[in-house]
Amino acid sequence: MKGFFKNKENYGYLFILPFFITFLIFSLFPILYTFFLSFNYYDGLSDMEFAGLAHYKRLITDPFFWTSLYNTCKIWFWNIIPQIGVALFLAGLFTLNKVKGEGFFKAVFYFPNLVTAASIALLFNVLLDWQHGPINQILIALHFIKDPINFLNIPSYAQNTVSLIQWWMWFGQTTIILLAGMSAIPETYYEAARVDGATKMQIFFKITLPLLKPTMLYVSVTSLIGGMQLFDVPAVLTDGIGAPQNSLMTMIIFLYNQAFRYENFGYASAVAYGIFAIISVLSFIIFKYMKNDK
Amino acid sequence: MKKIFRVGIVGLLLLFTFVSAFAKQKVIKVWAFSDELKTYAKDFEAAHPDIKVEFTIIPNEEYPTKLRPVLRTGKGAPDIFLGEAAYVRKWVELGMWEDLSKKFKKDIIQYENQTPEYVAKLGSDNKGHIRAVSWQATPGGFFYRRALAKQYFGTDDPAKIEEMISTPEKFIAFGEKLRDASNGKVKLLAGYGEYENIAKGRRTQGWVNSNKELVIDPALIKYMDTAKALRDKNITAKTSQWTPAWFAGFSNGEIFGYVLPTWGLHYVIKPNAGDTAGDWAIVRGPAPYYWGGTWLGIYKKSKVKKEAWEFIKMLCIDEDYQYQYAKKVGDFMSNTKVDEKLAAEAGDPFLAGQNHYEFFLREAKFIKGGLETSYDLDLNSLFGNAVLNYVNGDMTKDEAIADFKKQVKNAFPRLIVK
Repeated sequence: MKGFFKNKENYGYLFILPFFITFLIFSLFPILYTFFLSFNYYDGLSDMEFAGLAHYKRLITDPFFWTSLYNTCKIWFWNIIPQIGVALFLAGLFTLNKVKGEGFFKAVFYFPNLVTAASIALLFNVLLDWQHGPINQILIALHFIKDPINFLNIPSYAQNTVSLIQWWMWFGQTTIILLAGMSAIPETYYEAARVDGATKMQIFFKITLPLLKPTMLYVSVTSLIGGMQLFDVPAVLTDGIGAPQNSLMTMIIFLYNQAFRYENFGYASAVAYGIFAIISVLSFIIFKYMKNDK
Repeated sequence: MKKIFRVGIVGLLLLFTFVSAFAKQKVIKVWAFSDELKTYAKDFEAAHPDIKVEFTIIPNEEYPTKLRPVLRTGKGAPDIFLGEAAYVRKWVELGMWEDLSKKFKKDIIQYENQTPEYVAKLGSDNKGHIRAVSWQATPGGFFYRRALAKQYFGTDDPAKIEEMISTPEKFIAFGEKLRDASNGKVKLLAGYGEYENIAKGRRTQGWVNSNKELVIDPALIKYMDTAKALRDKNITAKTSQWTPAWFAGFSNGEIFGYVLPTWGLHYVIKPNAGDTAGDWAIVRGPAPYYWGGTWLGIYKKSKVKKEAWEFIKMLCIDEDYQYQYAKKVGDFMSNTKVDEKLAAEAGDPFLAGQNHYEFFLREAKFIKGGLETSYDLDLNSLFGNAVLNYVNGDMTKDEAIADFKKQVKNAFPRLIVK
């Protein structure tokens, strides 16, 4: 041991040790333990019972799991498309033009992200209330509808509400990341283009977008991982079981309910690994697609 | 050297006196999901200066999740933990609570003799041994506004109103009459969901039978029809419990009545009644039922079981204290003798002199015990969803039931669902 620290360069290991200790205890151990649990029946109190591959077999044929995957992807898709679209538009606007009060707008766009998702979901729950919600009251007052709409009881409305909330919470963040990516593009390219007589549109589509690909990749992958783990907004928006008619049952809500509501910890662990596999595959596809498209 | 030695001896002696003074006072740890029993803990400490009560309050949503690991390992576990009606069965059946029938036989026999049957049954295991006890019983009724009854039905007499709503069909007809007489201004209920507890009171079988098969009692199928009728005939205000609109209904004169139990009177109606005090009455709806309640039991690995039992005994069995507690808090007590005493006293001016103890005492006798299973919390909420899908018209009755069965199978793969 003494000999090890004679070499001053080895001191570095001492400094990174705390991270590895916490990582081993709080990350690696739970990950491996979850894997172990996924081969057992366990209710959190009684003794474990070996299940073999039963949980994984059930997972593959479980219609609820596949529904939850479909719901999650659908909600994510209708959030990410407008999110990147709006963020690109705003970032382009800010980079290619001088906008008065740019800092102010950036801050305002970012605000929704600072509020906890659960409170925003609660807010929308009140806004969309069937009999007494302000949105229904306004629509009735304006004679758009005669009877109030039970928004949160109609699957498509409920899902789109979640997409809308996710979009609203995250487009500011994405705008800022894309802005950072754009400001890293050397000014000389733009100058050269302008000298050649390119319009702003041409500059944006021919120079900015292609050079922004790494940033877009980053945004897509992080958003995908976050989107697949969607939980708090749909859980608070309705009853937490996935009402109306399972349309808000995302993969993580499914996982959570299996573990903490129905106490099937073994199956829930298998679900966790299922989700891990799905996120890996999807990330891989995005990665491949973005990289090859040269 | 000698001096140091002497000082040392004196110091040690002092230390011992302190230690023994503290050692005399035993500590019991209590875990609860609300601060309801905090006032009781103070009374208990005053009566038992040698016992100190340490309360830990954990919000309801996290309560079972936090308890599970400590009960399994025994590390940092409470000596007493509370169980709500919704999940008390689960813990009774898991055997995490001490067998009280064995350990405190004499007291438990007394408890069983003086407590409504359903309360005792909810806290006893499959062998009939009591593992958790309660200080209260929570039978329910239908609270209504006297002025509205007089205006639309010509009488506010509880006996007459009770007769008018004694079956589900009569209840709906009553609501229709009210709707027509008031031009749709006054609704019978705030929402169809309130009827759920009455429907559960009409059951004769629990959710799961002894063969681990799912059973849907005919009363629950009937509930689907009643709920649909309540919604479609426009005799509810289409809100649900605990929403702002629901609370507003207590005083705005647009809701005729509420389905609430014992605790509903002093915790829910009175604080929200505005200036309607004296305008309320309570009767039985289409069935006797109970709603809620809290049970206490001793953790089986506790080291201070005797002291823990003292804590539970004073609250749940001691007649004198139960009377005091009822006077202070307004609860309907689990000791029938205490309730009889209270029923003989003057009625509540809030109910225009009607004595609710007398009413609840009658109801408690009609509640069928032993229907609860450890699956109830989840099955009730899944079934509630099925009813919602039917009431909203998104599914037919058969579709909703089939969907419910699928959900049950998914949540409890080891239950037999036919």
